[in-house]
Parts: sequence; structure tokens; C-alpha cells
Amino acid sequence: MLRNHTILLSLLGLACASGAAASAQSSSSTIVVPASCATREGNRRMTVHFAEQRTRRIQILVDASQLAGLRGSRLVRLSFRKEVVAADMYERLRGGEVTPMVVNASFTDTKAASPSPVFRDNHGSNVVEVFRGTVTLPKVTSDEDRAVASFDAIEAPTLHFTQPLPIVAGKNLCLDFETYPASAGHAWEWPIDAEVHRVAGTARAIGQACWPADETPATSVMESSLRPGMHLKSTSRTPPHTVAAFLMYGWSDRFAFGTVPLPLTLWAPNCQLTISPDVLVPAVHFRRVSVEDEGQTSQVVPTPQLTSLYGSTIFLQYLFLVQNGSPTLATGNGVAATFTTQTPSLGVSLVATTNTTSSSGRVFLDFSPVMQLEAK
Amino acid sequence: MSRRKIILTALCGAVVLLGATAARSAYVASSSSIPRPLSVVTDNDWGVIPDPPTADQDLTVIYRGDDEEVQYEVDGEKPVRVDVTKTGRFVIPRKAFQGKKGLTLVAHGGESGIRVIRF
Repeated sequence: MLRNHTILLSLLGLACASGAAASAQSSSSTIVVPASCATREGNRRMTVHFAEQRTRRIQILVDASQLAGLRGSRLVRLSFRKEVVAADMYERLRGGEVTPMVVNASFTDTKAASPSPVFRDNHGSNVVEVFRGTVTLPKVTSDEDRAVASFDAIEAPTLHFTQPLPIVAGKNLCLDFETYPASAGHAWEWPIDAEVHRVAGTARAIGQACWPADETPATSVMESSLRPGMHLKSTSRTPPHTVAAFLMYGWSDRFAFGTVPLPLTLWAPNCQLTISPDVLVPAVHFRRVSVEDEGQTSQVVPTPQLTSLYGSTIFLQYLFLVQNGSPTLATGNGVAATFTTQTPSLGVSLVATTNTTSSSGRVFLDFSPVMQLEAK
Repeated sequence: MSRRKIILTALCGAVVLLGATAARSAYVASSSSIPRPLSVVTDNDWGVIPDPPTADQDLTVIYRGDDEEVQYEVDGEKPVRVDVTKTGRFVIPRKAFQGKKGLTLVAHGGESGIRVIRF
């Protein structure tokens, strides 16, 4: 009797243990990143992952705090969400469009608030190739009246990891996508839902361009690029007959090189240097339809991730070499660009480039595609 | 020599030096016999439908960059600003192109932020 009872208890114990083990193996969880978009549409979209003949490398850094809801030991699936606001973009899909893609992933100490522009620096020590293959984009309707789309595979581009990624608790996640060109024979894009926390500095014009520009100020700075660790973006109209464009960066609008009072007339009658030309770099410029027209120039320059840069002001001004008869110099208006004092807060950031052989890319703080991650 | 002349001389010297360096780099790049990897693709932030555009059709413009506001400027007309935070897509009607030679699409994206279209 006692022996039978013991055997029965042993069998029950074994059954419970194996049941628990089976339960642990089958338990899985899904989370949405960023969590704030779990039940609402993001405020932007990304067309960079999936498109005809498009090459990109995009690294996504996700803070550990965003992954807190993941239960399980390994990351096994990732899905992107359809964009509903710009759903008319899907009308050019014919079905069967694909994007070849390699995804490497790791858990890392690098935080989303301070990614390096150098891709390698953002990975942890154990980088796993979680996916290599072709993503077939679902053919979805362009007629959309929902407030938000789902992560159902029938309408969400889904990557089942061929090599699951072991989860390291407390670490941040680095997802590294390389997409390669594929042709469906027609132009198409498959935009995905995305979220941005817009943070901006301020830009103030100093003086004015020394030619009658069709728009003033002739030079402007994108205020949301005034974040330490991102890239400062500026653009300017160029005078007619421009043959070379340069951008000057400086630390003062009062003294050039710390000694010469500003503004300083460079070329008569009113082409003035309004900032200290501490750094001078060439800029690509474009003619419009005719050489008689104003042209356009633009430059993107990385800014360091320095605490001291928050709230600080730098100055910039474009300088042009103009050849209409004899060569002359011309100046755009100066700009006082003040960096934001706000630090990143979304918990997700991107580093991206269109050149997959480049070791570095542009940093986009507080920028994330809306993703669903599954762990088992 | 006055300080103004020193600064002007320094700037002109830098302009000439940088211009010459850029020209030499461009020459070296264009004359290089080393084939570039096929995977190197640097594209533009702008897409247009139809591509190439024509002056007798409406032009659908797709912006793929991260600016919140961009502008387009039809030959000889004032620039038009467009909010691209919602869809990143807008249409310029064909009547805007009547008698025009082209247009320019402008964002703060460096080289890839500008696209000049000539009909």
C-alpha cells in the first residue's frame, strides 16, 4: 500500500514537473516598441526598410526599459506595423514584392540616448545573425479607415528569426538591418509606422545675404537637428553664377578669431562676415534651371555627444565664390544655432546610412519604427 | 596689413586650397579604374511619379527624409513650403509647370536633400 502510494506520488510529481517544463517551453510573450504606440498609430512613417531597389543599413537601439515586458529566454520574431495615415502609398503594390535582408542583433551596454555613429561600437560582444533571407511584403489595402493597424502577419512584415537571440536581462537591444536591392520591375514602397519625439533647438538669422535672394533668410538650419549627438543640417540659397560654396562654423558672432570685431565687410558693398570663420569646409551646390538663377546648397555635419553642448550656441555662415566676369565673394546670412537642453526620452534611437559598406551612419535620436517583438 | 586684409587673404587662400582639393578629388574619383562595389548605392531623399517627370502631368512627390517641412520651387516662382510630417507625399498640379523649364525640391539633407528636375 505504502509502496503503491509512493509510486503514485512519484508519477504525479513527474507529471507536474514535465507539465511545468512544457509550460515553460511553450510560454511566450510579445511587446510593442515603443510601448507608447501599443494601441495607437505612431506620429511618423519610415519608407526606408522596404522599397524597390533600395539599399540601407539601419541600426535600432532599444533601451532595456522598453524590453521589461518580455518573458522568455530567446527573441524569436519581429514584426513591423502598417502605416494607416499614409495608406495611399500601398496602392502601387502588385503583390509579391520582396526585400532581401540580413539582421544581426546583440544585447549591449550602449544606450538609445547616446548611440555612436559607428555601427560596430553599438553592438555588444555576442552578435548573432538572427535573420538572412527575403522578406515578402504583404499586399495590403490602400483604403484604410482604422485608427491603427495590427501585427497580424497578413498585414505586417514579419521576420521569424532563423537563429533565436538569447535575451540578456538588463541590457539594451541592438538590431542591425542591412537591406539589399531587389527589383519587382515597378516602383513601390511599403511604409512602416514609426514614432518620433521631436525635440528642437533654435536658429536665429544674423544679418542678411548680400544678393537680392528670392527668400529670406537665404540660409536656414533645421531646428530639430540641433541635438548633441545628431547631425546639424543647414541649407542655403546660392547667388547666381556660384562656382564654389563653403560653410563656415564659428564660436562667436562678435569677434573673428577672438580679436577682429564683427561684422566685417569682405566684399563691397555689403557682403559681410558675421561670424568667426573658425572652421571652413566645402559644400556641394546645385544650379537650378539656369546659371542666371539662384542655386541651392546644403550640408549635414555630425555633432559630438557632449553634455557641454546642450544649450550652447554655434554660428555658421555660407561663403560663395561667384564667377560672373571677374571672381567675387558673396555671403549668406549668418545663423546662431542653439542646441536643445532636452535629453533623449523615447528609449529608442536609429543609426542609418544608404551606403551599406560604410562603417558609420547618421544618428536619429528618439526615432523608432513601431515593432512587435516575440520571446519564447 | 590691416586685420581685415589678413582675414580676407586667409579666407581667399582657404577657398582656393579647398576648391583645388575638391577638384582633384573629383578628378581622381572619376578617373579611377577601381570598380566600385555594386552594393554602394547613395540615393536621394526624393522620389517622383512619374519618373522621369514631364511638364504635362501632375507630379507626385515623395519625401523620405526626416525634415518636418520641405519646399519646392518651380522655375521663376516663389518657393512653396510643405508640411511632410503627416504623409511625406504631395502633388504639384501640371498647370504649375506651364511654360516652365523645371523645378527644385529642397530639404536640409545635404547632397541627398536637393533634387533639381529639368523638363
